[in-house]
This record gives sequence, structure tokens and C-alpha cells, in this order.
Amino acid sequence: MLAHRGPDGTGLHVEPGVGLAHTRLSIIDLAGGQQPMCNEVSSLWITFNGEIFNYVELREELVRKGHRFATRSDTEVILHLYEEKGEDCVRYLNGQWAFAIWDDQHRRLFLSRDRLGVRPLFYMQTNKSFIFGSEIKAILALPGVPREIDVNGLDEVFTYWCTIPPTTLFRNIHELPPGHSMTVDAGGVTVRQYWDCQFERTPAVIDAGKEQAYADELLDLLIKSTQIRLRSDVPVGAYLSGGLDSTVTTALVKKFTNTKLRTFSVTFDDAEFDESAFQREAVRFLDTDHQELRCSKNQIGEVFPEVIWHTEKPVLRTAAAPLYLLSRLVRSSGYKVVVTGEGADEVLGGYDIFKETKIRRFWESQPDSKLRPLLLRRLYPYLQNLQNLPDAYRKAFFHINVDRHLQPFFSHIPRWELTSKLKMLFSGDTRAAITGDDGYSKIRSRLPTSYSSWDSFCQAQYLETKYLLPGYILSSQGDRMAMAHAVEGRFPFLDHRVVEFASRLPSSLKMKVLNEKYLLKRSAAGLVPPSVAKRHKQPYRAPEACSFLEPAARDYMEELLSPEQIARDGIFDAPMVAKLLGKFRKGAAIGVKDNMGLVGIISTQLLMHQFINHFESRPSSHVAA
Amino acid sequence: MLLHEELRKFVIDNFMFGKPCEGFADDDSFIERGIIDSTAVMELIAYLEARFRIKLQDRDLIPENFDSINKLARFVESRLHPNGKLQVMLGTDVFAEPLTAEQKR
Repeated sequence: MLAHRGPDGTGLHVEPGVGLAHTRLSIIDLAGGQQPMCNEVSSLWITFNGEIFNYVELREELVRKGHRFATRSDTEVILHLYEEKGEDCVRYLNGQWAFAIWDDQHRRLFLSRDRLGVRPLFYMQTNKSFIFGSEIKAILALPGVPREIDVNGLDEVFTYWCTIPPTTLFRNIHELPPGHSMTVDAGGVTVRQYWDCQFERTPAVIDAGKEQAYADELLDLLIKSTQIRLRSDVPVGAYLSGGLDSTVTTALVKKFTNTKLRTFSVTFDDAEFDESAFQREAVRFLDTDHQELRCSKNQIGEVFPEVIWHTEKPVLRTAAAPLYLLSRLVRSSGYKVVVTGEGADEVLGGYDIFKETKIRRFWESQPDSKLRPLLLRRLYPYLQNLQNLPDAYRKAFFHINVDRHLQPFFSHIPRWELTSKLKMLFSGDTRAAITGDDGYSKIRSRLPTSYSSWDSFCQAQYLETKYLLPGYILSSQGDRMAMAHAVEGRFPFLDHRVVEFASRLPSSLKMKVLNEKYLLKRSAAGLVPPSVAKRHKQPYRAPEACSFLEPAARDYMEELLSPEQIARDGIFDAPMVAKLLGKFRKGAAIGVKDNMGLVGIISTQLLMHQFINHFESRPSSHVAA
Repeated sequence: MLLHEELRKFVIDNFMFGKPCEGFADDDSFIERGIIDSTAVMELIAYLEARFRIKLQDRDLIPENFDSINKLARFVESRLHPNGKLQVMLGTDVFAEPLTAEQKR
């Protein structure tokens, strides 16, 4: 069931009451890293997905303390570190991981997931058993596990674009949140947070003389972070999108790679989405061996069912599909590790939502100003409609007068409120079954105690880093699309030292007035082509719902979106879906809401089809009892 | 179809996926009820211009003209019949092509 994640080997450890299984993607210690792996006396067993990048330094320290190693793998380092530090071992790790250690002596299972949520970990608990896996499908495949949609998970996707752990799309199956560990023993299950993204109150203005020192420190950290992410016994490639972040990471990889670096990118037929001009400029500047994947709307429609098989949750955008195709190209080119630029926008302040938050706060302080809202026109040059809107509408659409109780979510209210409108499409039964999260109470209850003392910019960064990054960017667009073809992504911007450094920076250095990722641009001056450094941030987007009008999608669209099937599945209101579909077919659906609605319906119906109605018909879904 | 009915149908079909929100009344503010977003305003403008053959200026694009079914209807009526002599009868298609001089005879 998880062979796509690890096609290089399988392993099994079974003893009374416990079974650990593993599918291996061999990257470090190709000969010696088989799993599940045990310590010298077979009292600890581990199954591990991911990489511990500082394993070399940790190993040296452990050897000095008398630990004896049988392999060169990072997996064994975790085992010995657990012997040394117990559950606190995770605090010493620099990497991306989901692992479980069976401690036979204490009859206890210890599970952990990395700080930012790069690697996934799901589990299910019953009266008699505890089951876990890197993907939900591995749990669903076990005999006797019920497959039911959790409408609260659906409600969360149609609000936040992702589920909020521990909720998933499947009832009784939970996700361990990033930065958390858990123990399972006779006393029950205990979940503990060991790390969180914490910001500091910083001065609004800083001495200009200090800027260069900050820029130098950031560059130094990025160099160190990239260096350890090149530790691999197989060649490492890089994604190159044409934007600043991946050009910086590619430049840093290039700096430490002796051989010609292989880079990969997606290009589109549609000029609205295509960034190939910037990609080619970066390729020329950095002198890489580059390969492009030309992605058409028809291809997006064609692979979308497979994309949803891997995301295991609905999506409201199609942007994952080109990344699914890209990882296929990477794998077929003989690569299984790529360095990418994910995380820079969250950590160093690149997203438009941060810019929008600044403008809205600026406008809110003088709501009658005629000039302040005009800044919004600069913000969304690619959304032509917005530019022509009168101010009264912009004020409403950008939620200038946010209620006091919603102030903690000031930055995200426009996005969440707009997305929530899509819930009109739910059937009456679905709406009735949702047990609700009025006023964003689930997220509210988990805000750090110091949250209210942070400025709006840091609050926006926190919400984006805590929820959308792991729940969508690193999973639906990240791990799941790469691992669909056994490709491992590595993210220098998500080294926790970089994240912690950035969270201590004054917001004005991350975004200077409206200049996004200001400090990164300063740090990277000279590393990237000037045109890439200067360009306005272009969010990664792909052709949306129009992809489903293409021939490759026709068959499944007709089957899954027929009024009969919609009614049978019961998630959505069949006449409303028919109305929206009709609008698309007439070419009259132009809005963001309509696009997200249709992609959300299609992906949910694909999820129903593949995981609820026809799960057994997938050849890989059979597990021996 | 009467003007109010037609406008209401367009708004419900296009901004509520064909099913009115609970208790949706002709006086309800589109903005306050969150019925339209930025692109919806553009859709509404395109529809009004094509359907009623009127040309909208930037100064027309204000909530006073656009923010409820009633406001929309008043605005469209004022543009269709600027002299105030509105000739609407039950069951009459007010959007039919105007009669030619020959037809009037």
C-alpha cells in the first residue's frame, strides 16, 4: 500500500503484541540501513520515514559517550539518541521525520513527527489496538477498519484549505500534529508538544546599520542548512520555479556541489501561469543541467484522480497536479532527492496575505482615507477584476471592520470567510452532521499564550506556518506529490535554526514597507540573477477548473458529478452542483469562489470514489489478514 | 418575467449556486450577507450590460445601486426609463425589444 513511498525494500518486525512494517527509500547507507532496525540488545525497534540531517554530529557525540554503531545510517542514530535522552531525543534532531520506536523493556511505543510537519504520521486507536502509518490508506487497508468520511474534516478543508490535526477526512483516523510526540502504553495514549513556532515582540524600526549583520547571519544559517541537506549517498537535484526562493536554494546547492547540478521545473502553455522565462534566466546564471516539464490543462485533468489518491483529502486548487507530474519526471531521470524553496514565504514573509494584512491594518487606522485602500490595487495586479472595484466593495471584501472577537485572525478572515461560502454547496445532511467550529474555536483554543502580544504580521506568519504549511503546502503539494513517485523533498528554509532566527527578526526586516522577503533579497544579492531578485512575487498557480473540461477528465467527470452519484454520495446538494457545473460548461464561471467550489467538489467526489466506494478495487489495497 | 424576479433568479443562480440562503429577502444587503465577492460584482456588471443593453460607468458602481435586489431593480429601472415613465405590467416582458415606429402604428 505504501510501496510508492519506499520501492527499495520492505521489512517487518513482529513479536507478541507488536508489529512494525517499513517500506524503504534508500538514500543514506544504502547497504546497512534496512528497517525496522534494532539496537545492540534488540530492546528497541524503530521504523522511520525521513532524514536526520545532523546525524553525523550526533553520531560522533554518541560514540564519545560509548555507544557502538552497527551501521552508518541516520536511523541508528535516533535509536542511540533515544537510549541516551529518552523522549527528549527529538529536541536534538535537525531534520524531517516521522518515526515510531518500540521500547520492549517498558512495553511502550514512542512516536514523533518533525517540527514543521514535513513527514506525515497518522494513527487510529481502538479499545484493543493502536495502528499507525505514513498515509491513511495503509490504515484503511487493514481488515475491519471502517472507512467513513468525517464531515468535520470536510468542514475544515472548506474553511482553511486543509484539515487541522488531529482531524482528518476519515472518522476515527487522526493525524499527529507537527512538533508533537506521543506515547502509547498500557496506561493509554499521551500526546505532547515539544516545539512550536514562537515570535517575539520586536521594535518596529531598527538601526539601518544592523541590517547587514542580520543579512549575513541569515545567509550563514542558510549555507549551513543547505550543506547538511546535501548529505546523501545518492545524487541530489533541485526544483527551480523561477522565483526567488528556489533560485536561492539552487544557488546554495550549486555552491557545494562539485558535479553539474540537475534542476527541474514546471512550465505551462498558459502565459498567465508560466514562469519559464525566469527559470531559463536562473539556469543560465547558475549553469545547471535543466529539464522542463510542459504541463497542459489536459494533463492536469488526466492525473487528478491519482493526485487525490495521494493527497487523501480534498483540495480547492489544482496546483498539486503539476507537482505530481514533476516528481514523476524527477524519478524517471534517476533522481530521488530534490532540494526545494518551500517555507521561505512563510518564514521570511513572502506571501501576499502578509502584505494584504499590512495594508488592511494601515487602512483600518483611517477607514475614511481615500488613498490608503489604493495600495490594494498594487497588491493584486494579476487579479484584474479587483483593480476596477469601487472602494466601498473593497472595504467589505477585505474585512476592514473585523469584529473584536475575530481580531486574532485579522489576517486570515478574508480568506477563511470567502472559502467558507463554499459550504453552501454541502447537502442538508452534511451541514447537519458537522459538529461545528463556530468562530474558529479549535484554532483559537490552541493559540500560544504570547500570541496576543505579537504584531499582526507575526500573527499572520504563525497561522500560515502552523496550519497551511503542513496541512497543504508540505503535504498536498509537497510530501504526497513527491512521494507518489518516491522522491524526497528537502527544504533548507525549514531548518529549525532558520525558522527560529526568522521568528526573532523585526517584521520590518521581513517585509520592508511592501517589499516582501526584504532580508532574504539582501542576503542573496549576488547569488541570484538581479531580475529574479527584483521581480514581484508571483504565487505558484496552475490552470484551475477549466482543466476538467478537457477530454482526459470527461469520463470521470460525467460519472462522479452526475446528479445520481452526487445524491448517492450525499456530501453535496445535487441541484447546486448541477447549477455550478452548468455555469462552467457555459464558460460563465470566472470567479475564485466558483473555481474553488468546482475543484473542491471534484476532489471530494474522487475521494469518495477511491476511498469509500471502490477502495478494494485498487490492486494495492489488499493486505493479508 | 418581472424585473425583480429576473434579478433575484440571476443572483441566486450565480452567487448562491441556485438555492437561496435562508430567509433571503429583496432588501437584504449583498455585502452584509456575504453574498457577493469581488468577481461576483464583475459578473453582475457584465450581466446587466449584456441583458439590459446599458453601459455602466465607474460612478454607477456603488453599493447604493448594487447592494440588494431592490436597489438593483431601482437602478436598472432608472437606466431603462430615465424619464421616470416606467411601463411595467404584470406578465409583461419589459426587456423585450422596443417597438419600432411601424409596429407602433
